[in-house]
Amino acid sequence: MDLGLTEDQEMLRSMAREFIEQETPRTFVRDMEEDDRGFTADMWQKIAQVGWLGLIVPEEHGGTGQNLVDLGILLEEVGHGVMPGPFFNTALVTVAILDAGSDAQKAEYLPRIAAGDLIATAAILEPYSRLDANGINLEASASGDGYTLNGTKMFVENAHAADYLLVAARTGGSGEDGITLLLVDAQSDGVSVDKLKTIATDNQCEVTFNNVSVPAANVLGEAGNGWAQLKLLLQKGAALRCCQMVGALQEVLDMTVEYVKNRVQFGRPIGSFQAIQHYCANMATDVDGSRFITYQAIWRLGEGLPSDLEVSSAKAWVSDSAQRVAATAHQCHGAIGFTQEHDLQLFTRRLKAWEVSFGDGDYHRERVAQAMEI
Amino acid sequence: MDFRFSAEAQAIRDEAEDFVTKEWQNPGYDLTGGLAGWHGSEEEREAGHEVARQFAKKLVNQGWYTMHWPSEYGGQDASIEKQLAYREVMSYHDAPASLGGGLVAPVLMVHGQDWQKDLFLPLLANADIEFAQGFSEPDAGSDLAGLKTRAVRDGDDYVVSGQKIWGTYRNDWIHILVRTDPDAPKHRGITYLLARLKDEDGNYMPGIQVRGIKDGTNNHRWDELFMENWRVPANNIIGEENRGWYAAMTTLSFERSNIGRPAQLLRTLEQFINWCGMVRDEGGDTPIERAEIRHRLAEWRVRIETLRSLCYRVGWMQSEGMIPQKESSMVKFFGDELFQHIYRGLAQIMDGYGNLLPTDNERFALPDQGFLPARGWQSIGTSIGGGTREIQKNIIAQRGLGLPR
Repeated sequence: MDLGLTEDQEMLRSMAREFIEQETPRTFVRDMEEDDRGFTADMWQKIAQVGWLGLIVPEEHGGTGQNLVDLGILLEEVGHGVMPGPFFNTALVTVAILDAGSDAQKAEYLPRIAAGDLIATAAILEPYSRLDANGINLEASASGDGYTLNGTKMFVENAHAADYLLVAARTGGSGEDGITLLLVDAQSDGVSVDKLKTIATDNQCEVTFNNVSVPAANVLGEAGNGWAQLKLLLQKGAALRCCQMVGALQEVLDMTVEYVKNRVQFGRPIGSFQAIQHYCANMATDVDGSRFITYQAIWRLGEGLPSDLEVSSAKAWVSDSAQRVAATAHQCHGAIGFTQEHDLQLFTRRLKAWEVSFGDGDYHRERVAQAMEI
Repeated sequence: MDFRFSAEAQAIRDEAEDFVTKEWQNPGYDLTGGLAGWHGSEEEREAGHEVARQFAKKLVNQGWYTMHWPSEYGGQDASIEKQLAYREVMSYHDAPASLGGGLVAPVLMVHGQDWQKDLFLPLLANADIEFAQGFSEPDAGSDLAGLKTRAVRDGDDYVVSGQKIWGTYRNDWIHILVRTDPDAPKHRGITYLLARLKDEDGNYMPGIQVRGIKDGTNNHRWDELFMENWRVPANNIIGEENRGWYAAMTTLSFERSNIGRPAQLLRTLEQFINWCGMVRDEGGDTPIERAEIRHRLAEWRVRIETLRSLCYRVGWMQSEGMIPQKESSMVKFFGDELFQHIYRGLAQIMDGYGNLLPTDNERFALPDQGFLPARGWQSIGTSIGGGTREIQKNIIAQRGLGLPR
């Protein structure tokens, strides 16, 4: 048993932290909240140059061929620095192509992703916002040498900036049968993207498909048999989101500890009061619990081991603890932490968004119950 | 990162699993939940302890009982991971006394005189002796170093007077902390002694009186120890006079992950789910078919999983030669709270049956041999004994996060 990071992973982590502090500091994060696109082309190119976009892409396709745990560690830093942009989304589509793509698809898309020339995001949820197979109803009807898509996808993060959308559609059947994953060129006729205003300013979009033609060559995996791949992708998405949340939670804890050490009331630092100390102890336990249950989940997924219970346990725990930790951090910060000028809100708003991303506590508790066979 | 057990640890898991399923059958005593004396009779209580002792003997024969000890003292220098893997399996099956020697063995190994090591370590290794522990006092609980039991040197003896509490003082021997210098700063006036509580005929030594304490459900659980001019040979000292506090803090490379907690809770949860499957109401439904109960069970499973990952973290740190501190306090208080949460919750789901005492076990086939509801009551004590929840949180905040005192 080894719960630590390898030397390479430690290096990846410290270089990522340095990069984010330099290239996307909090001032930049704030600027990007006001920006229509939400990130800059310059930043994206730099991310490609330091090898993040090719991190898990095999060497033959222009990447460095590292594994899912490595990606998780990188996302922890992305969360720690609340780095803006579609890195998470593009990385997740990369995972999907690696898991389900044909050799030709890998050769076509992965080098472009690694080079920073292709931004992608997964379009899974629909207006009913269900993550199970019955929630996938966007119609993909066979026509000619391909499919015609009609319907709406909701909460598609960074769709406005994406070159490709990984769309979960229904080509027939019902339930788990008849689901097909398609890589859709976002510039195709009939695709329209509306940005939604959200608490996290995280560029959630409503994407409408109106008679959108997609060639059969863009089917990822087997047409009609996409549920198994989609389920795995949802699990990997949940675990990777947990990694991102763990990074953000660690920063929230560290900020709070720093604040209570320095904030003086009644002639002493408020961190010397036991009420505050016990709040901080609770936060630290939530954060450490989040970290190690997340590591367990991402490691199992990376090893290809059965992970239903572990992934859902992680997301249920991390989603709920994130809300507790953020709320306690605000309580410790008092009025100043509630303001726009204080950085705490940057984290609280994102942690709220990520709470429900890839399933909230209730959704994952139900999945845990299923894994327990009760 | 690798959550797999090493080949060696996996091997002991498999062996222990095989052994414990064959050799451990709890005859209806609550040996790990403090309810051995439930029925109130001292005979039953003794019988329960005898069951635990006999099982310990089997572990001695297996060569497992002191696997964590240094080979110098007959142990196997078992790795932390091996200890953890073994303990997890034994706890899952609710087997008592998986690793022997208690707190006193490492103290003896490091600070004991040769005669003490020669006499007591083999007895401890063979599960032939148990020491009572004389640490807590009525006015020295969380503030243990404030203990007042006084020991005054008189010729070849210490003369000891005072009071200890929250132990079981039924053993022949006790290891005890006493104050030898009342004028020194509190940590520096304490001495560590081994002493006979009873003579060879089983009678308490002159100056000793013991009174039982029952918990709120009439379960004889602890004792009080009253000492008045009790003479203890000065040669029974462990380590140096006035250095006893530091001897008591001795730790060896024994695993301290608290892994038993999540293992035992997991088993309880599984047993409960089985029990639920057997209980049907008039409509033919079982409790777990109710969504609100199903989700509570799932939430407890999530928390067990989280706790276990934190326990593994403590074990892993020890394996790496790091010293877990706030990490140990986290598993302690988190585990205690989860224990309470789960047992109270399960008893609640059982409705009226959750209030039945274990004596009604046979009539209604209650889960956990009827001890489940009573453990809900017993769980009150878990976040008090062994360092209160508040002390654990102080440690996390002050030593772990560096908050000012």
